[in-house]
Amino acid sequence: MKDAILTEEMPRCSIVAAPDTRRESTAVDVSAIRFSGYSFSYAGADTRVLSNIDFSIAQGSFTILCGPTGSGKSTLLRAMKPELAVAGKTQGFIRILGDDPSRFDPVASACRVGFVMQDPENQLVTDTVWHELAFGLENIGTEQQVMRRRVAETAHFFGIGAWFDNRVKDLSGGQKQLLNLAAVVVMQPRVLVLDEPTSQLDPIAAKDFFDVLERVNAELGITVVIIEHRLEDVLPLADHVLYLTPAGTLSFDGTPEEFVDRIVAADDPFLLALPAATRISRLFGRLSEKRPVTVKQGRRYLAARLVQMSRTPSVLDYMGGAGSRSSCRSPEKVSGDVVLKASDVWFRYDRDEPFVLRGVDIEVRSGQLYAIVGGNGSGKSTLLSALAGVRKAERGRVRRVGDVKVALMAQNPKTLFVCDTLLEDLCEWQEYGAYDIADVDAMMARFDLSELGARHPYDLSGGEMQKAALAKVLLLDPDVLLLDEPVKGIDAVAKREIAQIFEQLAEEGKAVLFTAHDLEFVADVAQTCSMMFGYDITCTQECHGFFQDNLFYSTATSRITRGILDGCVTVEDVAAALGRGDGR
Amino acid sequence: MPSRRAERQAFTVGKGLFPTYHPAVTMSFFLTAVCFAFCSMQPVYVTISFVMASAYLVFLRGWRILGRQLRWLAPLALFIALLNSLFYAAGATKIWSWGPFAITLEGCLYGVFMGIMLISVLIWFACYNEVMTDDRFTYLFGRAMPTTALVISMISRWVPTMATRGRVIYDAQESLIGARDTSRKARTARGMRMASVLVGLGMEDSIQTSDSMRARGYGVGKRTSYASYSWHPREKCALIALASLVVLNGVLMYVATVQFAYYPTVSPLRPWWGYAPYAIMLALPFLVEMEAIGR
Repeated sequence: MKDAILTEEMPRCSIVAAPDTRRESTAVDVSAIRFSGYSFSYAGADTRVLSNIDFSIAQGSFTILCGPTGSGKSTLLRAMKPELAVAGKTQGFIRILGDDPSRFDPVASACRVGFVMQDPENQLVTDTVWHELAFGLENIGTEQQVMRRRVAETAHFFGIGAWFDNRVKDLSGGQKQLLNLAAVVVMQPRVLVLDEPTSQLDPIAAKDFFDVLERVNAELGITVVIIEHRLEDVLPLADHVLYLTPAGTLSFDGTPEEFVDRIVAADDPFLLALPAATRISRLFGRLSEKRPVTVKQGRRYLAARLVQMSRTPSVLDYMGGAGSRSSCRSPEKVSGDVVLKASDVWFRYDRDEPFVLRGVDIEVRSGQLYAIVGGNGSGKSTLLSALAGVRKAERGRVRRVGDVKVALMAQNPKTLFVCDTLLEDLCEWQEYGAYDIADVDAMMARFDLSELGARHPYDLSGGEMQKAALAKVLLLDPDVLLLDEPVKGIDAVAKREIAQIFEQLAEEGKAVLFTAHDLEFVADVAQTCSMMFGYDITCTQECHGFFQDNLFYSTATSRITRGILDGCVTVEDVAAALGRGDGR
Repeated sequence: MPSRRAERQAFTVGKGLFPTYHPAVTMSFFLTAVCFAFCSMQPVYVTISFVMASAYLVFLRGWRILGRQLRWLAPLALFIALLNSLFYAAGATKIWSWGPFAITLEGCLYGVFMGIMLISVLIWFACYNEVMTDDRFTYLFGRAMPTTALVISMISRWVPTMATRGRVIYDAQESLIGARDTSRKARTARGMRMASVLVGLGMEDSIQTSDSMRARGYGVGKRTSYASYSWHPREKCALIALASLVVLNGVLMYVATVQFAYYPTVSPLRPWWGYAPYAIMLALPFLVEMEAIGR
């Protein structure tokens, strides 16, 4: 029996066995990844993207690599995978599992480090699920019997069995990303490197992904290194955090607890990315104990603090507070005129297919910030295109009051850029929008894009690209702005900027209707919220009340404070209720 | 968007037992069907091929799909018939004439059967697409040329992806500036721009795809193949039966076709036992099915 386990263990990735696998698997003291005095600059450029990086990641650990946009996170991450390392000048050295990655033989190199990227779609190579799973093993020339067994085992572990025979084009985004993970894990890597793997997924799919990732780490012992800017879900899983500064130096290397303390104490802008529980704890100043990270810890922490402050919390009953309304923020009333109205809209993509909008009624007013939330495939995007007139309703009608101009901004901002520089791109629609170069300059200044005019639009960061797309659309001067997932995949700081832009637009009297999965963002910005479910709007409410009355589909803050400090939906609300801090 | 299409594709193998046969058998069958369809313009042979192809497509995908195929195939066939009768007026029976142009009954008939022949070939291809999925094709030719096989698999993923992406880009731009384009010139310019976005996005995406391939060791050594099919007796039987029918029908078809001519007048057609083997050969997928039911 023991022999059997050993022989199972031994071949690891390598059916064409790498000579030193056994030695490595027994040597526990060897760190999975070690960077020593590592610096990087692009060929021909003097400025260092990364400078003097020193750290070591223990085998089997779960490490988060984070930092503000432009801090060289991805470059650092790619240096861990020899095939994908960015070309440029490097100094110092890298050891992966104790060896120099540049001397890996190609098969071992492909197997040892697995890499999962951001976009679920583009990483898929073949057209069927089973072929995608087998792809890596086919490449390294695995014997058929062994390959079939590995693929079967992996499909089992990831719960892919049910859709093993499907075409990849019929999978949901979450399934695609799980498949990408499985297709890498099937090669039995020792280290798994992930570059923002959930940024394109909705929150439910993202949670599923993290659950599986945690199992990969905990049950298979694979070392995980991940770049992530949504720390709410991933921080509780990690045991190691690396934090890069904008200058490309490593400013923190330690445990998540220390990291959270450090960011809170330094009042770093990165604070916005921390979990709600942690941000709430910050309102109470310095802490002697561990800062809460999860909703559960947050609830315990907040209750204890309120007792200390001799403000008895009501019973710690999650459902108890649902009815009561000790409002800490007066609900904003929307007073503008109705500019866009849909009544009883039915729509389907094809006569053979089911209706994906079923009798939707909606009213958008000028100056209104309106959010539509709901799961993937609930019809949100379709509703936006119907409102924009891109899709014609089969029954019911969409009415624009007067001659209001409606603009729809698609989910992928790249679909709007056609020129080689951002400046040219913003000028592109002059003939349609009747604006001139002065307007473009003003718009760029307003969105803080002036520095970026000469850049290629595709080279912008996620947040910058979103702002640039918004600028291009706003140059057409629409009265109603429809946006599909405007904050998908962008970091907390950029989110805050977008929120401010939205608020300005509403003040100018424009109506802004957007869909979003990020409930914290919605709670921050929107005045009115609708939930879509089953291809129809199931409820519409003033935003604060909406999240207060929702028990499960609500912000983390609302889930933390429910029954303890009722009526709080955002960390700002908590700050206001406690009468302290800016609630950032 | 849970569509019926997605449900159908829950299994990549087409309906029935025939698609479970070794890819070499299914491939040979479709090759045979298409070659024979091309080889004879004799009306009975054309009709048999058309009927059998349609029957199999209905069996695989249902009436609705056949209807949908015919909706665009029928006008095509009519167009070919018209073109042929206009430009090749060799027949003896004039229906209508105008100056140098004349339409003859024979020309019309020839055109009609040529149209039906083409339709039947296209319907065979529709069936082929159901049965010979890319992985089966890859299996058949993958070992001889692993790279080609992979490229085919990648292309078959790319085509739908590009189509979807094109639609997304079109929608994104249409919603903003579509209504403001009035002149044809502006529309053409916009079309060009959209194509450039499509190419730009496609390039971006393909860089990521190639990264993903390299990360998983593509090109490090000799590739192996996951898929495997084995040769059972039933497969050998089917292949032998198919081969003998091919020989028999080759002779019969030659005889029938030589005796038949459209011009100058259409030769008369009589009932003949020799058509039966052709129908039997093309009914191979159904025979396979019946054999299983008979057990």
